[in-house]
Amino acid sequence: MTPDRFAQVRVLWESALEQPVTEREAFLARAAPADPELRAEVMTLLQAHDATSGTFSGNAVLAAGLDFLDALPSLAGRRLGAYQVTREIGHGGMGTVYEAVRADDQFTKRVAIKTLRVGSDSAEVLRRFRRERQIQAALAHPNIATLLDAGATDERVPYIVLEYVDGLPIDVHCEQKRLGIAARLNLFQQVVRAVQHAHRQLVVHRDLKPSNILVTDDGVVKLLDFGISKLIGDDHEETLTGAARAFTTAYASPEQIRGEPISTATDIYSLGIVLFRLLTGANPFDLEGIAAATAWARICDQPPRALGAAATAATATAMGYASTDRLARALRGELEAIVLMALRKEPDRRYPTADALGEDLLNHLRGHPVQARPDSAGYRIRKLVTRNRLATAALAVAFLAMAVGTVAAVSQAREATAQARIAEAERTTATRVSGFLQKLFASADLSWAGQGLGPNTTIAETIDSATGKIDTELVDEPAAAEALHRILVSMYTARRNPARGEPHALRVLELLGQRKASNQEMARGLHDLGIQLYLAGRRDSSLALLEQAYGRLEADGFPETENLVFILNQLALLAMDAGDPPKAEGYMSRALEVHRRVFGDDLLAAIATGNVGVMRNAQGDLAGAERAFRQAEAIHASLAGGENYERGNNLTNLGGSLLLLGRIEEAERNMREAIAVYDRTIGPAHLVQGVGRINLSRLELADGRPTEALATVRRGIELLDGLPPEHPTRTGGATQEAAILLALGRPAEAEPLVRWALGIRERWYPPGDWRTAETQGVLGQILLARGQSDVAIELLQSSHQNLSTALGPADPRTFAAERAAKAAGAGDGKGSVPP
Amino acid sequence: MSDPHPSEITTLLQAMAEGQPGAADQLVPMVYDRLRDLAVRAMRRESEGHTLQPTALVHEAFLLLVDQRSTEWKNRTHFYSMAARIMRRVLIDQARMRLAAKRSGGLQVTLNESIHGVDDDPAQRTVDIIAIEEALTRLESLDERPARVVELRFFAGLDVAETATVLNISPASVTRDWVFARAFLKRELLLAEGEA
Repeated sequence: MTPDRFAQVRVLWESALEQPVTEREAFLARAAPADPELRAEVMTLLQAHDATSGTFSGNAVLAAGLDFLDALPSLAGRRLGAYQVTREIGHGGMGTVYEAVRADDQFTKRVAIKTLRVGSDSAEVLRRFRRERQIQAALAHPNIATLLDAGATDERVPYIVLEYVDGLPIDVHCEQKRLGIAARLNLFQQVVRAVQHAHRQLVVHRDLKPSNILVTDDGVVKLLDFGISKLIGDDHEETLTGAARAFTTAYASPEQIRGEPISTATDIYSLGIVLFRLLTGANPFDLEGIAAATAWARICDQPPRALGAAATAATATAMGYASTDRLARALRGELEAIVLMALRKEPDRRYPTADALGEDLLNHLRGHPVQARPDSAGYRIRKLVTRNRLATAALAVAFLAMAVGTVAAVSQAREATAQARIAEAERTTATRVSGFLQKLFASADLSWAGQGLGPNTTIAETIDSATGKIDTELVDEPAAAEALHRILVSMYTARRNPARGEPHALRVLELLGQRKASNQEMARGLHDLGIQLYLAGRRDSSLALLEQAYGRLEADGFPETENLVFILNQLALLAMDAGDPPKAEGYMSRALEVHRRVFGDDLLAAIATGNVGVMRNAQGDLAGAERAFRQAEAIHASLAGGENYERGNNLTNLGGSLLLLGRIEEAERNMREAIAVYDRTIGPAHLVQGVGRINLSRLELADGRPTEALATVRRGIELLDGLPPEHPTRTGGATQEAAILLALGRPAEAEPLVRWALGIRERWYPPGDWRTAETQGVLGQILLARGQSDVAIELLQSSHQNLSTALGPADPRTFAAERAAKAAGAGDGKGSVPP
Repeated sequence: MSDPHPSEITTLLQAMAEGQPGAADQLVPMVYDRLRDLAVRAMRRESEGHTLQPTALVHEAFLLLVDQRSTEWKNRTHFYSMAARIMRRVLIDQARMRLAAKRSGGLQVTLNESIHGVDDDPAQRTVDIIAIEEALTRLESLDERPARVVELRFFAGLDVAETATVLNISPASVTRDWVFARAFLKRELLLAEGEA
């Protein structure tokens, strides 16, 4: 880039800036048809011009930098229309706030002026504001700060003029004035009234939080920023997870994070968070100092903390309690139920209106019955039991069989002399467990309201609903409680649902600790919890636990037991993720050795052999991988205990290798067989089914069936629903969908998907990982198809290089990348993704 | 080193405004030292939760160093123009020192902590001034005038009219330069973070 060239860029930029946003690409194509580089330069500048920090809320430094540039320069001392800006007050998420006065001599009314950062389209904002004028008038309410006016500075920065509110955020106000619970709840009523009023005008706030809820010194609540989100067009922004949404993480609802439609229920959720804060001084999810993606996962999947657990000393003191325990006691029961109801993950399970929330709070204060019901075990069981007693009995019997089976498996590795004693004890346990269950099913009253759980409810869901009861009912029988928790852990592991599995795994560890279990047992407990964390994507914590588990076994001198196998297996997987396939293969081979000596060729041997195949695949040893997968399949097929869903995983992987080797028909057969296995073993609606389908779509695309592939991959992505929004497995689906869309000639749709996937992969996987490199390649192909060949060629070359390093130059994936890079360099503007 | 007497500075400013060679060379180190002192003191306050406002510092320096009685508006704009460049230097030097001392290379160069509409994430407000400086330097090498506009408006707080005067261009040109420079800087930040 030379100054002369830059001058050209500048000239084109000035004209392009005048165009409406949607016309830009077309304009550039007309203005500089033979100079794609120039077009790209201007385009990226325009994009940067529009970029705001809201899009990059996951990257604090970048967001701060963008905010900083957008906030300049200060308007202090300037004249803005009829107003004179006196000073800067603060710097918000959406712009800078100033204090101003009316310039006429008659009025010295103070106002607040807020500049809005909205990229280029200030004219559009003003148009919208005028349309919204009527709504703004209707929003007039004593507890809502009125929107007075709007305009744009001479630099085309839009601003709004608001009623000036001299007050403190509601949480600060409550602490400073040392308000007790009742006083805080009464203050909160004003907030409720304001929100209800706005909802009646069909205005959703979307960003309710204490800094938007001010309280004046004489106790009048004023809500700020109503209708702003609508003004700046939030409803038109992309709804991809992680992209283009502006919200404050701590107060955001699951649907906002996932990019799902916003409704009045979203405000109710935020009100719940504010209420939680007023009562405890803290946030329901412990979000201090963690990465945005982790926070989002917590908000979407984890239940909120109990009010008592979150209560802070500062708030307790301010309220006049002697200790946090006293405060916690006051917060138990109804108040907790009310707050939790507002914080339900599903919007339609929250309070239907803000008024309803307010009323319940009033009822609580007056001692009247409260509408909110906690999700107690009793409550859920009542919903479970069917009118059909026979079915209930059948469920209990089936479980009994399973309980015995599981317990027996654990005893396999034990010494012969101990076995008899232990087996006896376990039979007793099994009886107690089934006794509990029979009591469970028989006792609850039969007025089941059929709320979504019926005769097809699985055993796991049934038991899980009684989780609270397991520990209370079986308090004198920790062995039985332990067994039940363990069973749930393995069920949730099979379903890849770590959010549910983790609490049970933790409980098992607790119980093990309490009875001073042996090193072997502790190792197993640590391993099981480590698995939950691994599935949740928390690899570092998982590794730490696995290493502890390994340490326990080392202390015992590595007796050859199934625990050693499990732990070595998991260490192998973690090494894979850390980008060290040789280390991983080392662990895995050792695991296999031990396993075959201890157990012969059973399910675990099959799984481990399959894992060796995965490791070889990642090193580019496709022939070795195929051998391993076939060995694993042979073992699976011979298993005495019948089929396991892991066989499906192995077949999928085998199919993947065959695809790379170009043996498409064979690959397809195996992949379809995999899906059939899943159907037979774990049912049609499972996470692993999602992965299987995504792989199958890859094959369909390679076979020249893109339309089928699109349907398959979308179905696969749907099935991944249970994963946290930024889980790396989802990126596989997104990348694949993008590749298919590209093949169908729809690169514009494909681009956001693959950018999202690339962002996550770059964060999750180690540098140079072949999966990230592949995604880079897809992005390169897409950009090529969209005419940005310079950037595209760079990406394709980088992708090829990384793949070559990771997989070796002879791997078909490397070849494909090489071909693509060459074709792009030769000016073949078509984009097509090789299989 | 003792504080330079206001009339010394004023005289030098006059000399610089008249285009006398050597005036700037004498002036710059004096002003640099002063501005640096002010900045360091401000940053110490910053670590207690107050924030740094370069514009205010330049203004403070102006009040301290220039004899208010005999100052024409032309001198003022010249002072600010030079101070802008110096202030930029000061902030970068400070940031680099902090980086070398293994403290964060970012400065809280944003606005007052206050209440009306403030975001709840104070941790997010540390700006990587070094990254912005690098971006600004790159802009300078490609097109000096927009970079100068940024310097004057940000580091010295000149408004559109004043900037236009210093640079001897129309206010509309200042605005256009400003919008362009900002887009360029944002793009550099985005590219640095691999987000573009």
